Amino acid sequence: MKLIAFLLPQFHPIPENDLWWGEGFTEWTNTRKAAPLYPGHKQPNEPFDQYYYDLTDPAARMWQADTAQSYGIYGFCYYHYWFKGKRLLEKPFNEVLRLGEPRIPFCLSWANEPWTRRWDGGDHHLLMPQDYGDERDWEEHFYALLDAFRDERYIRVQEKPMFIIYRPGNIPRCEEMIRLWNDLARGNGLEGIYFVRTLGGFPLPNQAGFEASLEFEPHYTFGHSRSQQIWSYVNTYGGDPHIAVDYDHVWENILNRSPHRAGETIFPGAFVNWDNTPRLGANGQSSIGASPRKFGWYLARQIERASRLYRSEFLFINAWNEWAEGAYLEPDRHHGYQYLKAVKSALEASASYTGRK
Amino acid sequence: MNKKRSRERSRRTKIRLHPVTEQRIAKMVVRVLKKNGGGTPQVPAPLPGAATSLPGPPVSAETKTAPSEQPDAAPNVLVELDGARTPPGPVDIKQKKVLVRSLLSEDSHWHTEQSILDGLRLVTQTAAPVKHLCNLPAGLTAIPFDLLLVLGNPDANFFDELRDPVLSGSPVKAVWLADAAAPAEQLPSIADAFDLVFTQNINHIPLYRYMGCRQIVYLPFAADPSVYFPKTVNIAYQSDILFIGNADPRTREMFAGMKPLLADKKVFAMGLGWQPEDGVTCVRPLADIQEYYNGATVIIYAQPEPGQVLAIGACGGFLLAENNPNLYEYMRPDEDIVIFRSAGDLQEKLGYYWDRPELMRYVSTNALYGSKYRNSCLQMVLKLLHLAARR
Repeated sequence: MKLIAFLLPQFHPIPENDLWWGEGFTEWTNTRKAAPLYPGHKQPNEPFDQYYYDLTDPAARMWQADTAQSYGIYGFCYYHYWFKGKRLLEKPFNEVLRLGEPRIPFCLSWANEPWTRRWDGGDHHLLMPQDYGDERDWEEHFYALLDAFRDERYIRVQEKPMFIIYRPGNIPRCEEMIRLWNDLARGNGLEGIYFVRTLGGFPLPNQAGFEASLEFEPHYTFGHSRSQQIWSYVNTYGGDPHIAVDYDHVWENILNRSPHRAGETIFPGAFVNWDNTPRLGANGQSSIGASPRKFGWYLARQIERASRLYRSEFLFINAWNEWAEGAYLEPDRHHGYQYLKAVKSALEASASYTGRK
Repeated sequence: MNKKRSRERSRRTKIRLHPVTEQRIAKMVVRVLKKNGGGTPQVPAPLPGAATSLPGPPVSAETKTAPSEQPDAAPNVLVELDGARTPPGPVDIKQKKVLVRSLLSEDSHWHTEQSILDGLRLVTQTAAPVKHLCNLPAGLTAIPFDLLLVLGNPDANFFDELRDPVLSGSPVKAVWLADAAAPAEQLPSIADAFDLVFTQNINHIPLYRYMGCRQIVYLPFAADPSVYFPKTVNIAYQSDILFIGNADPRTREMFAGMKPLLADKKVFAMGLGWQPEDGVTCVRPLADIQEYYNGATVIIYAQPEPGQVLAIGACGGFLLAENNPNLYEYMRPDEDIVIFRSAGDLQEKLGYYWDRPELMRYVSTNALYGSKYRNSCLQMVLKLLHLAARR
């Protein structure tokens, strides 16, 4: 089973973030200021050995890849930000392309949401609008990524580079854009583009052109499980009600879900944990009940389902380093490397489990 | 072989027991006969699926709960404790609605909550887990739960939560403690708050009763079959003898008595205080424990913990366990576990069974079968539900 972990590049300063959030802002800025909101709430989460890396540093990128591969992660899915010709946070990935290192396979997920002060992908307090333009803009976008698609490290399905779109429902004329990109791909020596749509916690209109869907957890379960037992309120130290997520209940939903949706190929998902209080404070959500052992157990079951039920080559993990959302595999001060060890154990267990009757 | 003799032998259903055990059985039979006025004791039925080539079950009442064979301990049965009779009539647990609040620690019981929930869901109408009682998720607040089941050991913070729960109706409140190693704390609060207390250790019952708990039942957590199951393991986990117990003077004496038998064997010791100079390979307690259970030819357990006894059975392990009141409610001595009472007894039984691998396999097969059915999580949950329903 090929485990692909989402990788957030927001770990280096950029002028836009300096302007919007303050000089030197990175994801670490949010994680450092996090605080526990209720008894048992594990915040702040600190990287192991205080390794507050900068992703423009090639050593940091090498460390990420070496660590990931040594625990069984097959590849990274880098978030890609494109706002009608304007790119943000592109430096780390561009350096990966330019230098040819690290050697870990990768693909891209277009995180097509506006940037706002609320970190929620909505249109309130807009910092950077998400526009899509027309055929000329689409073509510009394609050519900006062609070198990546041609890179031998780029993850392919059916010989086609896999490109994930986070919110295709937000793209006007999305099907036309996909057709254009496929034409451009074939015109430039590729077999086409393997488009994957993300199933997340937002509306999911039927759209042609996608060859697979990807279950993005826990958002997909948040938005579409229709389970009221996922959520409850806890009272914070400050007396504010705060939404708590039942970690085990989310996983139970994931593992008991029917594999059938609309007949399409589905890549199943997994999540490490969820806690976006570093970004939103008490207005965010945090999960209760997570642990490395549970994660490993659940992941092993999901790997087995991915193979047996979904006949999927891939399983996407949210995430490699979403520190400000509590969804990270990278080692931290509290757990050390336990989450990564859980990944390795899950792969080993699922290999033997899949082999048993 | 004399064919006539082999035919006669095959007609008899008799297990070949250790000679010391045979003597105890004989004394027991005599006592029972005298008590019954010379009536014939009932022969227990053979275990289903037992191979004809293996010995049959013991012809005795030993495997039943014979009070004079048990060490002194408070009786376990709910009825006897209270002196009250359970009301007659069927209990329809299919209609029951159970709210579950787990306080179990992630390390030692990380999957116990899920196993118990799975069992509850199989037999009840609703089994809803929550992470706290103060603010229930929408959809649960209106449900009149019949039972609030707390898993694990309540602490002071929990009783704040319990003080003002948003619960519809007046459910029976039960706590299933994780108190195998030591009695639970907060006993006065537990006694005050809970109608039913389930304990992992029968030896704690007198204390809990003294502290005011209304009803206490010995009910260990079942072994999780997804964690503990038979398998082949790496050579690093394989041993001839796995000795479980801390290296205190009593255990060392026990161990010393076995030394001649251990000379040519690969011995692992799991517990505090062991050193390589003791002639053992020291194994960290609880680390990959199911691997070690599966890798051992014989497991010897000093001061056995009931949960681990069941776990060893679930791995299909052959277990020699030191005598303990906890062993008689859910295990069947000499059928699925062998009990020793002294260092000399251990030495004798180890030597006896080591020379009889098919007998060891018979015992370990029975233990595996018991863990799968008689001591399954579903059975434990059913027992709990029936007791709660009769409150």
